[in-house]
Amino acid sequence: MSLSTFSSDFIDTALLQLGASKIKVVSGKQHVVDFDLEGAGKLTYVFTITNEHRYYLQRVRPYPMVQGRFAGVEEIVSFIARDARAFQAARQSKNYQSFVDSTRDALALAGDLEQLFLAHNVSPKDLSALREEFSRLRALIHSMGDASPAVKAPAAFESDR
Amino acid sequence: MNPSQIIAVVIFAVTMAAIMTEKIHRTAAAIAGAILLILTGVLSVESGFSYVDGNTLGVLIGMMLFVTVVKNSGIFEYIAIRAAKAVKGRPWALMALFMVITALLSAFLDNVTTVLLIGPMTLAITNMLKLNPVPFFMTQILAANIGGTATLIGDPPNIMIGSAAGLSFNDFILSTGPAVLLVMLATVACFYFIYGRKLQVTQEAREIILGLDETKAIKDRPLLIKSVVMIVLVVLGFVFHAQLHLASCTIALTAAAIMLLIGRQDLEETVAGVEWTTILFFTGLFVVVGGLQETGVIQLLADWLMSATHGSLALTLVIILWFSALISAFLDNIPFVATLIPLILAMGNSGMDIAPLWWAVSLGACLGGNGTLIGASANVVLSGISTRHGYPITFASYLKVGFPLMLVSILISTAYLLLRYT
Repeated sequence: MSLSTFSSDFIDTALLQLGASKIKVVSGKQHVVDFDLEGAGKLTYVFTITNEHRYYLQRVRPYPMVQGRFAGVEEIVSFIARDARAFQAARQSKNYQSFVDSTRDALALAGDLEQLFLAHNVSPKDLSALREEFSRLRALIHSMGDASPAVKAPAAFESDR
Repeated sequence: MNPSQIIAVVIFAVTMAAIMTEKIHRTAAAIAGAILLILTGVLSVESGFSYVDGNTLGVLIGMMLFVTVVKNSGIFEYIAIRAAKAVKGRPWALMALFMVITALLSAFLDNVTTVLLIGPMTLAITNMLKLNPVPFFMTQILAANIGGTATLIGDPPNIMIGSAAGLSFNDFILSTGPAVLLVMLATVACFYFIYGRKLQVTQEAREIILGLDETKAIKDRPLLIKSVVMIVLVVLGFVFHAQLHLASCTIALTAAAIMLLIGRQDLEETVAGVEWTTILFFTGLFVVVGGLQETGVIQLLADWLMSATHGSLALTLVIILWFSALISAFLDNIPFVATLIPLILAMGNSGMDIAPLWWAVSLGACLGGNGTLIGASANVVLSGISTRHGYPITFASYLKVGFPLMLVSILISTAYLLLRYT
């Protein structure tokens, strides 16, 4: 056992109490945490605790999203708790799958952009046109947010465990 | 002294200085010291290895493997949550109960493992109760060192002593156990006055504790059931190992082998859970001390000690107890005990009744570790973790609590040993 075991155990225990359905530990440092979203698949996080006691988190399911570096164990637990509750509220919506598909499309778009730039010598005019499109799309998303009623996340993640 | 003795003493002193000052990793120091003894011809490879106590290494490896598998079931978290709910979140009762759990766990697991098992739950629960975890950590540090004194396998010095002296699990329970019980009672009482009376929590916070679900802490139910069964069998195995004519390492390694087979855990991860640096440290240390034995330095020291005490058992008991305690409060007790063991054996060869001296070494070396922040590995580990999580435990803050309580424990041990063995 090592000092990082302490942080691992603290986080795992807290996440299990929050409703995590499964936690798999790889090489004592990387944790794969699943939450069941009833009828909507799983919510999966991967967090890593380095030897220098740095904490890195990313969500990998329903779509990958890097959350970055965290200061400590409490911050990781708090973030996952808020995020899981928000997703649990979101899965109540009939549009949940559309939302997930849209986000995956956005990530695929980012992949296409990367391939375009790394494999081609794209003109500044074309890149500028792309950026304008993205700005318009972001403005559209923000205006949709302003026009739609807010969703209140539940106080706790409801699980069947 | 002849040249071989001088070389052995110099290598021993340099190795100990490197270990104590932590200028280099203690494992590297011990291995280097061992190799130097071979290179200088003080020991051959065969004679060097003959001083490595396989039984001690076997107990350490076996129990580390066993705990690494069992831990994956979530049983320790389950116990901690059940305990917190049993006392309904009342802070002093929680503190006392966690002390008892820590001491009991420590009687069978090494102290660092124990604090790493109970520590996370302590932090989680004190966070929920909006309490400062430092008092809880302090009580658990002391409880871990106290509990580990009670059994053959609770602390590495006891494993080494039991192996060298042919003492059984029950010998320790019957000899150090009563003293440990008295020390534990006194320590719990002292902590009530130091911390317990001042602990306050809100009803709302206690409701959060009552709302915890201990079944969620179970990560692998089949493994939990297997673990519970195996823990009972392991305890029985250690209790009866002498009657079964089995070495303590046989019990530990058998338990490990069974859990590896039935636990269905990733073998690479499990084996990686063994602290191989600690195992190598012990290996090197045994060889370094072996150099002193091989050259007769230990016998010289034994003769000097017997002449200084005029062969008085009572005086020798008290000197060894207090010397062990004070040394262990500031320095790593493992190298110290590793050196003291052959010294006491040599005294026995010279005709002294050394049976009670083993208990003096055990009580002094194990309880002395409570004296300062650096007195034992569990102290360093848990205080470091506490500091990293935003709750510093400084050398001075620890000393104000730990050293007086250590003195109380050694006073109790002195009275116990003198009354019982002289």
